[in-house]
Amino acid sequence: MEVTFLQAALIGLFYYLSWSPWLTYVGFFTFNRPLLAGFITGIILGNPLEGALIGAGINVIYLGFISAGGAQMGDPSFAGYVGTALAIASNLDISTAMAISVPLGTIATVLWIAKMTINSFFIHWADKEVEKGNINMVPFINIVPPQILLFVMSFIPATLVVYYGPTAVNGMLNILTPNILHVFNVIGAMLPALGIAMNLKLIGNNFTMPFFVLGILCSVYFHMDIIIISIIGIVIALTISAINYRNGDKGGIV
Amino acid sequence: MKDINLSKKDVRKSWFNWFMFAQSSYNYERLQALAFAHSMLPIIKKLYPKDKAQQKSGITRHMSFFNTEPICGSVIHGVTVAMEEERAKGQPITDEAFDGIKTGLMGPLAGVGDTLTQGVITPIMLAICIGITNNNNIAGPIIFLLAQFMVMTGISYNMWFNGYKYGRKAVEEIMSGGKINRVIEAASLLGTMVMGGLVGRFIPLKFYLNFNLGGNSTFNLQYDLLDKLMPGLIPLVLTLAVLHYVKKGTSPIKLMGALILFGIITGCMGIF
Repeated sequence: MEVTFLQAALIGLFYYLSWSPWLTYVGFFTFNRPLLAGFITGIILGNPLEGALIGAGINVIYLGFISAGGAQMGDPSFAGYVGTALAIASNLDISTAMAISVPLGTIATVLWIAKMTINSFFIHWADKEVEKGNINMVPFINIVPPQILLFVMSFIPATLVVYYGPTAVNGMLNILTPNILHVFNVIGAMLPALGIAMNLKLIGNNFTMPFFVLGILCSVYFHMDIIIISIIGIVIALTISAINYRNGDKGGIV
Repeated sequence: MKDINLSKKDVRKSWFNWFMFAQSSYNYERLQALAFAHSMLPIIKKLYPKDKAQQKSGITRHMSFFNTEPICGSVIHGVTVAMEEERAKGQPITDEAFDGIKTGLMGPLAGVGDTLTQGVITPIMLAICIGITNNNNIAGPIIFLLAQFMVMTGISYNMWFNGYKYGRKAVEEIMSGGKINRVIEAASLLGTMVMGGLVGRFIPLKFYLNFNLGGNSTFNLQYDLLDKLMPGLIPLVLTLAVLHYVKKGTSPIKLMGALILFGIITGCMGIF
């Protein structure tokens, strides 16, 4: 399908919002995640369900995404918005969409690094104003210039890639043979291991890892929905926590 | 000795400034320093209504390097607000005391906060909502949006006001009472199991290889052996292998590259 410039610009706007402080800081925890990014992109392009499904797939790769102290792996948001847009526009299946969105997210990290660097300039400006006694300039400098910068640096690249990207992707797909598309599917099936492993690094340990295997079995062998698996998980977690508590253990298995 | 008390409205205004703009001017040099000063502005102005010099030094002392997890870390701001109030009333609280509390707490709270919000709560909610979405149900992203909004706003607001109310004691209790460990421990167990559930859904790797046993009979490694022994073994081994390298400190970007390369090789050879 054709992506109009207005649609591309709307997607660019939401990409900006996902990194902005507006809509409260919760924006980072919501609009920034590919699940929601895919859904919103789907709404803009007229196919919310397909967008949400593609976003959900991309999101698994970034499940272990943690932004701490200014360092981060890739840009889940860029992968989510732009990846979903390209996938819908070029009619890609979910694994292919996952495979193409990862490089996009990795390249977009440059935007984040540039923003973090240029923002240093504003704090010196604020220092000077406070030194002069203009403390009321603090909110202005904290909000307006960094947000103008962020808008320029996020809206423009995302809009352009969404607008011109489908042509490039379609051209690429015309050259590729079914065998190569199979390779894309394999890559798409392998990349989620990274997101899951990144998250397991944080919460997985000798005590919890057997439950990881249990989760796999519930899913692969018993074909349970995630929501059922999580209810079983809650029951087990509460039981074990209660047993530890009764034994006077102050916690610390983790 | 002055008697200026902060109203709930002042404290809420201060919280709102942080909650809205904590990451607005996030930068490599002093990270959230400017946002911290921004959040203290309503407090300083209220406590020193006419004293320009005090206002200036008040903001200056909150312009130093600051970085924590914005949601859970807001307990530090609550404590700082309480300290500012006490100082304005005449308590001998030095600038060093502010620096000490802020820098002393920001590290541990960043650790606990990142684990809790980005490492446990968000992935579990995502996993559940991804599961809902995968059943072709559009409610997944919508539930995620609403749930995240309520949970994150609730934690931030409560942390701030409890910090303000109980001061340093609150933080020490949260950090050392074992309560937080218990929550993280139970949530980690749940999270790990849910991650296992995602493996089944999103890593549908199966061996394609068939071995000809002569005549018409073929042996398929996947259906004839692995599925009978341990379904999901390949995804499990792949995830554990990646986890091994993640723990060894290999950068995620390199691992992504390696996985893509591995996918190209095994995909071309028809192994998967």
